[in-house]
Amino acid sequence: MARSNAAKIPEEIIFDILLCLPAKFIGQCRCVSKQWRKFLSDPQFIKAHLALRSHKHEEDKLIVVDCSLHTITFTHNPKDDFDAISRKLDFQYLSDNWVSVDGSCNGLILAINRERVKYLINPTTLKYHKIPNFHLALPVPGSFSMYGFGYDVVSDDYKVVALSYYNAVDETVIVDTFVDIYSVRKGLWRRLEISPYDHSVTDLASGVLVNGALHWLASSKTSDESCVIAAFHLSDEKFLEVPVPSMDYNYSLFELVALRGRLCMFTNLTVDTITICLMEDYGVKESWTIFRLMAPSLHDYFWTPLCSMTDDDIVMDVEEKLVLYNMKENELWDLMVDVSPALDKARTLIESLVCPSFGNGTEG
Amino acid sequence: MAEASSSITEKFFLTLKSSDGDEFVLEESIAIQSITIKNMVEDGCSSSVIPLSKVDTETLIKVIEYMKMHSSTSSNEEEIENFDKKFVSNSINTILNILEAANFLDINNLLELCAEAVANRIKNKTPEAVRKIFNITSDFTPEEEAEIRNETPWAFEGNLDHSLD
Repeated sequence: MARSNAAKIPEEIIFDILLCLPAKFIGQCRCVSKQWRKFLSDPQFIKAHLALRSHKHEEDKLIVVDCSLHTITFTHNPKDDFDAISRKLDFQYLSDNWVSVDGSCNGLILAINRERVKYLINPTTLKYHKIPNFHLALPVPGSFSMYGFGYDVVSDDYKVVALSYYNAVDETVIVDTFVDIYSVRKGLWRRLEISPYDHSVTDLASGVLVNGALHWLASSKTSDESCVIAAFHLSDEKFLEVPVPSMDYNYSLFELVALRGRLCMFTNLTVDTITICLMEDYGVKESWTIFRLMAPSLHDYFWTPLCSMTDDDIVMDVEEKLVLYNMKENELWDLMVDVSPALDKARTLIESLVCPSFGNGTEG
Repeated sequence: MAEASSSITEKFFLTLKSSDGDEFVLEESIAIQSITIKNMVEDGCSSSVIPLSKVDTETLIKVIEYMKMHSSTSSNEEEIENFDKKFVSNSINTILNILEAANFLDINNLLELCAEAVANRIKNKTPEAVRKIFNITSDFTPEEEAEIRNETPWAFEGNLDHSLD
């Protein structure tokens, strides 16, 4: 029913209603009227809309690479199962030769293509920003690079971080890692000080974003060469260490992932057993909780935690099948979901209207 | 005040008057879920009738129903949940009226509940249907509107709902 009385609804109420709506619908509503278009494109509205989503941890989407980029959306169906809907991102002017997604933050992703060109993309609005090459970037082949992407609250800026080091000729030598940072707001790369850690010991991995910092497993440059979690803080652009769980593991065989804003460590190398460590309170060593589950059915399979639907479960990829691990019940469930693209490097994604280039984005 | 609260808590009552002139007597402890009313009480304006010139009788009845359910200590979580579910199944027009009242009375829970309810109802509507629901006339020329649609093709994929309920 349309409103019978001619009274107009106050703008602040319309604001409150539209904040609850998915990004796609906001896009449609921009053609309701000139006034709506103005306030729905306003950065303040876009920020408030994003804040509501990140507060609720609405990470029900994954972004996966399979030459082209796909989003996968999970929905609860009435039978209390999950459905997964896959959607290919169709860019008008970008060719599909994507190699990896190396970061995801506030509805934006960092994607790298076969020519090693890096793009920031909003998979919802398909706006993108091409990141220029850095003249100091190390030559390829001859070096290795790892990337991370996140938001700096203090300077209200999105930043891409690159850690690069030359191929070591002699494996016993401690390798220096260059830390380069790209500010989206300034459109510029800068080289920072050399990393205080040796990043060449652990496998190449993208930085895991939790609590405003990008996390990598690394080796300390001290004599014991112990494995540490190095956290690069995006605001003050410095490394700090996050304590590892006090367990007798070789952490250099672990991988990091973020689950609902919590740092998570896992390893595939314990036969027949799932080992997942979850840091409930960021930075608090005692808050590491260790989940161990005998799972002979996963024998010899590689599995990767992808995302969490609730605080108590983890959706895992097991050889391109989705398995739900309930940590409370300590049980595994098969999710009868058919997803074609390779999932092992999937990342969570939230839907937002954030523009990848502070207003200068190109639409695909 | 201090002596009165020794053994039995004394109940205070307020009289709320709708824009249609109807008066409703309500326990103060329930009514002060509205920050607007709470401020009036604290400023000492509660001895006489509190006029709510922006809220009509039909809407005020609903708002009082909501405040009673959400303040009474006897209602459990499940009861409240069921009540809320039923509450938001009112017509979209009624909910918009309640939203305006909740905004004026400053009852945050009610505002959030209704905003989300309206959002859920209009989620798949066409821009035309949204205009009718919110009583808005488009000030775009057809060419301008077509241009916006072309600029944001991602927003117009899939099926949309043209109905107004």
